[in-house]
Amino acid sequence: MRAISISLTVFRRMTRDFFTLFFAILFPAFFLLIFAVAFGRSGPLRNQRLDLAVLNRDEGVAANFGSGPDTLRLGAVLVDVLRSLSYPASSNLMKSDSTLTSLDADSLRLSARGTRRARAAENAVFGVIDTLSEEKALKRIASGDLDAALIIPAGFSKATMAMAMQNVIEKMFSGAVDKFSSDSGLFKQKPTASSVQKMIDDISKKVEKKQQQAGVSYSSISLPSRKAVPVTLELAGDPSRLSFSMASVVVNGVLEQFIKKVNETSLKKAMDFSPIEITPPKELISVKSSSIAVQGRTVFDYQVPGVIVFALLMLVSLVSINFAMDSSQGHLERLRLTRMSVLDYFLGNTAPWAVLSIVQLFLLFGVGSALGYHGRGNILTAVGIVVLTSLSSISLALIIAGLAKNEKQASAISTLIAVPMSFLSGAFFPIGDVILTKNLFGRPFGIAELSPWTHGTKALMAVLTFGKSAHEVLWYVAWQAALTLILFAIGLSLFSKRRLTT
Amino acid sequence: MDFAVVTRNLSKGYDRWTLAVDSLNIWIKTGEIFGLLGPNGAGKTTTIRMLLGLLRPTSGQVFIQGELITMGRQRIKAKLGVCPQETVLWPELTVLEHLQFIGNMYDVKRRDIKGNIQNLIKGLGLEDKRNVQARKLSGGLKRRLNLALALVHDPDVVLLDEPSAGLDPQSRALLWERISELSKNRSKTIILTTHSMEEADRLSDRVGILDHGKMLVLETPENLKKSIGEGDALDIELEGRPSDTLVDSIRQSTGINEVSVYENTLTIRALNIMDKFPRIIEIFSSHGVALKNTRLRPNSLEDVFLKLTGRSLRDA
Repeated sequence: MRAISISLTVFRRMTRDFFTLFFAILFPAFFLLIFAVAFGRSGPLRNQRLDLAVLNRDEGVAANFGSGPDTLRLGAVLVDVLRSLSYPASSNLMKSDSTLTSLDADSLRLSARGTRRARAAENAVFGVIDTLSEEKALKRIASGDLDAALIIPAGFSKATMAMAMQNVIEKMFSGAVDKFSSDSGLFKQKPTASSVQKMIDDISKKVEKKQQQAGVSYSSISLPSRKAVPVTLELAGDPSRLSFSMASVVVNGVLEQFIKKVNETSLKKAMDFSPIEITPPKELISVKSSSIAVQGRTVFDYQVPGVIVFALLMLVSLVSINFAMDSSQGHLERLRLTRMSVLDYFLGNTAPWAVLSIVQLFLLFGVGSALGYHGRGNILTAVGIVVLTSLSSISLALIIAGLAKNEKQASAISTLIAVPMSFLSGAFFPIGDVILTKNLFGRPFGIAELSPWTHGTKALMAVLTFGKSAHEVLWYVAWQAALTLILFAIGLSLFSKRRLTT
Repeated sequence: MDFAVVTRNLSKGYDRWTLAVDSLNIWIKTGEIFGLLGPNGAGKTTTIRMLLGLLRPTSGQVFIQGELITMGRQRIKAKLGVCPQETVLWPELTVLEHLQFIGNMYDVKRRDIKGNIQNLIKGLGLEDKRNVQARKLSGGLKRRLNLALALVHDPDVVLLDEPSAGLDPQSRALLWERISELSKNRSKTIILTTHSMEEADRLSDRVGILDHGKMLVLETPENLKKSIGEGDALDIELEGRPSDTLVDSIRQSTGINEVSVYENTLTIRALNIMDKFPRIIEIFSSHGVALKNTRLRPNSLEDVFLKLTGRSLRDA
């Protein structure tokens, strides 16, 4: 009853004090509005065109696949691929796979002759500039006018085709061995000189037959060499810019797919002239890059849970000022004269702030949704996390009120702690953590995870933005509860000792 | 005899060298109004805080209705009502909400609290302010509410720390009336700290004068006043400090009980002093001293304090 009376009093005071109401409820909502304007419609993850300079020094590689001598220029093909890479209209994330599927044998040949130049896609990932010198490109990167510069080395085609040829030979050889061993039962016994000679004769006969059918003379085929000097593609950019990181990831992904496609195309082409009916062996391990298209998700979606935690961190200031005022204005002493216990006081003061934090959750969730937030989690689970986070804030406020001599000091100390804490906890953007141990109960544990608000942010993000269940965020909740308990014990002891004892 | 409050050798030192309260022994009877008089810094508030259990004594003990204050504090709390020197109110709460809140904090039963609040609101003239927030009340009304909060749980012992400080005459008169009623009609024990001699004189059954943490005297106001002589006092203010020869001449005059000097003021005590006034004027004339101002008054506790400490209470 006494705790309820205190709660009622705190709640009445809170609701009748415009400043407290504004600061506690409306201020974070305004914050959300600013974030929505800044990140709700655009942002680094949403269809941003990256300016990429390409310095193509590739000299190509000579080859003849039976239709006349040619020079394969894979550097130019790669530039075309990059130029035509586009964001699918329905997704925020690019879909590189679709572009690379068009890299068939014909396109390889056309590009090799240098007669085709891919048109820049309407929704292009890269704005490709291929007319700059290296010096100019680097200058423009330094001045922020360019996101990255890709330097394709002279031996790019040679090295790529060498890899492809090696692959072709390996596959053809294994195909031939499989074929002959299964047809003739050659290796069921120990190979002898006569059995090997028989295999060579059989191959020769089949080659002659294949030549007659295709009307191609094998003597005119000249495949690229399997020997080449290893080359390195260089991607230059400013590592402090997010756009460079994005360009780097996309170029690497494209290159991986590109080499894979060259290998597949080369193998297919080689099979056209192969005297043996070989089936490319099934790859046991393959890499497939697929897009996870989440309709409409923006950076703002990652920020809304963070702003909710930020609002709860702002409680530290309000609650600590409230406790300090109780002490400096004699309210605490007056209450100590009554039959109020320490527990009554803390329970009575905690409940209204916890209720306020739930109001904040609904308000910020509502405002966020109105501004374009795509929240989809279980709101009841979120309520639980928010109440726990508010308890963390109240516990910290107790510590501060125990240390501060008056409300001014409480306000200053809270700001000093709460603002850096909101950044450390990743309330606004994810931060790189200093890892303390690589394995704590099976997971890495960093400095930021010593803050209960870090777990609150992660749990709220997982529930509200990614739609995870309570069971899936148990790890964060357990950590947050444990850390809150420690904070509360320290706060209770400090405040009781300094403000409640005679 | 029934004692509501007893202190035994109660002392409090804030540092190693000085004692704010020094070996205080008081026996306050049930239903008595006890005035604790003393200048600022005499140790009155420290004493009150120790009586309430808000301050741990350096040594000594406090008993409330026979129960040691450190034991069973929750029980004792319900017996005590406190009106602190500073008004301690919650600005956003109304008068009614204040009384309900503090009543709940003392676990007053629901059926009792309504009646208590009604009586207090009526008795302290707060009827038309019951739904007004404390921040909108005048200073006098805030003090009345402050007093009401001390009484809402119907305590046996009420401690009033400078209750009339800063009150307008109307509020002060109302307050004094209520304090007298509490003692006379409802047998409440009241401990009153004040540096208003008039307040202590008017209200207290007994007065203890505290200075530098020590109890100088503990008596009824009448006996204290008698201790400095019968009759009335005549204060004569001069342009400068009176000479010793002038003071001696008045002292030797027939029927004068006592002459004291405080700065530029000469206080003369005697029975039927107005009969002696022409002779006194004659003495002043013979010494060539002009009178600036004169005031005739009965003996007061101020005089007692002046006699005990050698200084005026207001200046102490």
